[in-house]
Amino acid sequence: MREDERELVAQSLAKVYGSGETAVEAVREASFSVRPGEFVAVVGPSGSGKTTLLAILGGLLAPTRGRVFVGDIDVGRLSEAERARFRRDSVGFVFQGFNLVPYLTAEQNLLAVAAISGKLNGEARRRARQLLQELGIGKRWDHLPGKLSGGERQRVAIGRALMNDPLLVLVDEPTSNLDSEQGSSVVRSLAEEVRTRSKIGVMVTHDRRMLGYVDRVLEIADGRLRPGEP
Amino acid sequence: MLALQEIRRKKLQFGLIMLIVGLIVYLLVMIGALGTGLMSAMSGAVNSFKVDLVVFSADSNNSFLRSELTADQRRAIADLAGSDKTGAVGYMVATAQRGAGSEEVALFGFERGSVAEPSISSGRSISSQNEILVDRSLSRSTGVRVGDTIVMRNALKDYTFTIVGEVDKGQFLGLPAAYVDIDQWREMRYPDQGNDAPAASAVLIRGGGDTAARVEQAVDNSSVVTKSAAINAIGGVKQQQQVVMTIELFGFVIGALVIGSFFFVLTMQRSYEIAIFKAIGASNWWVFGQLVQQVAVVALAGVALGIPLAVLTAAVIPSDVPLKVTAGAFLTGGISMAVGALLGAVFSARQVVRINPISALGQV
Repeated sequence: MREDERELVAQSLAKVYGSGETAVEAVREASFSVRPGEFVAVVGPSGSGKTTLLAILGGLLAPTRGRVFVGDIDVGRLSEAERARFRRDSVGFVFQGFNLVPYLTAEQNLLAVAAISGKLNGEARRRARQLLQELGIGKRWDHLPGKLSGGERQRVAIGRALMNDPLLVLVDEPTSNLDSEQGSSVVRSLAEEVRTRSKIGVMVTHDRRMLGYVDRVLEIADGRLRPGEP
Repeated sequence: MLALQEIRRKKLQFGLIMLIVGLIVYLLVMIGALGTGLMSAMSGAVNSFKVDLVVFSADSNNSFLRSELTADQRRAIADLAGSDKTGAVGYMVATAQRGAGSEEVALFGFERGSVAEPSISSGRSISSQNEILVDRSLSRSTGVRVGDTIVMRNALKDYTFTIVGEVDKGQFLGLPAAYVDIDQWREMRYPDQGNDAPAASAVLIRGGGDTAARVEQAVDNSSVVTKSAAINAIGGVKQQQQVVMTIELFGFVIGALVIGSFFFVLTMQRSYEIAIFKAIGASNWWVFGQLVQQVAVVALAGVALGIPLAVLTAAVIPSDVPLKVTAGAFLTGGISMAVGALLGAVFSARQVVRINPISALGQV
């Protein structure tokens, strides 16, 4: 497969909530593309539609109009079960609130990804250990999320997002629950993983201090997307 | 692995569910055991006869107490069904005297060597008119043993017997049964009537087919029923079984609902975690599979707790409480468990499907 065939391509994406006079257009006519190895930030105030955009890209939400391709997958046209499989095999999510499973240790949170695809084996265990090592929390592998600091939890969440070796890494407000020092360090790690592992990285944030770590910035306001300043 | 991990981390929550499931299993087993025990106390003596049909006199309402068969009827039945397949029994209530105490006894007379011979659990059967077999419940309550003598009193006089053997499960209308030779019974039941006295209360027949119809047709004033119909005709047995079955049914339904609701609530409580799993690509089936594993563990733990508890209770409970823990009682408990788990799984499955993975993203 050629590099450009593995791109993320969004064409005239739109998402409308509700109908008739009460309809709200959360995303309007969004068109852009991201190459593997490229880390792109979508910035905008809250309520600007950036999380909706992320949900559409990650196959959590179907667009009202327009199309999204991830490689050769037409994400917007998948059935619910197909979207679940797409998320399982091709997407790594880093959620805003970390969203770790509280009763699983750091390592088990990563292994859960393998368990979902029925690939819980020695290979998965090695990969989980290696990811935690790379992210600087190798020694905390057997701690429950409740016993980890915010920064450590976010690193576990990044490890989980990379566990299935996805093409697409989607990051929602990674710094909102962290102090600025932890935030910078986490986003630096993310950028590094995206580049070295050649992932398509899209990060939604309102924290302009993080834009130094990304390759490109897209501004979103009232659902409209335009190129922004890094 | 993940499902079991959750049980390990939420010990209190799952421990309580296991405890409650265990207590429900216990309750169901005990209700079943009481039902079986009551049934045995009411009709055990009839049930333990190894026969298929019972012949009563037609005007008796199929009651051992009221039925009277003549010697001619007895002979006619033997001619039709074969004398090796028939046995006469007589029934009366007598009072057992032992020291200062006395106790009412269901006294049966039977034809020695016929199909009406009760099964002996210890000792031997009787070989003369002054020997007697007693039910274990009588040995337990009065302290008599094989080799002892016991006095049986009818309305008029005392008869002394030597106990030569014991039977198990021989109770009738809540009374312990004792068994003597049928001629002895005839003398005690109809004193001073000599050869005019009825020969038996009922005749037991081994064998099925058209025997029942043939006997009823050929023998005047006879009524032939199956053994289970004869048991149901015992006063109060039917009503008692209906009461027990109603209680069992309620216990069954309530048990199933409680277990079902638990898993439903458990799934609702975990909406957040399930949304995460679904957001990172878990299918509904996968989530459901985890739930089923947990249901299985909880159900097994419940059974592992409830059944020993029931066995223990049966062992320590006073012997005059009619309680019989049987495989059937365990089965009732087990089936209720399975139905409850299934119900919970079905409700929870709907819940699992309804959880939208997008809620893992928070406010969209």
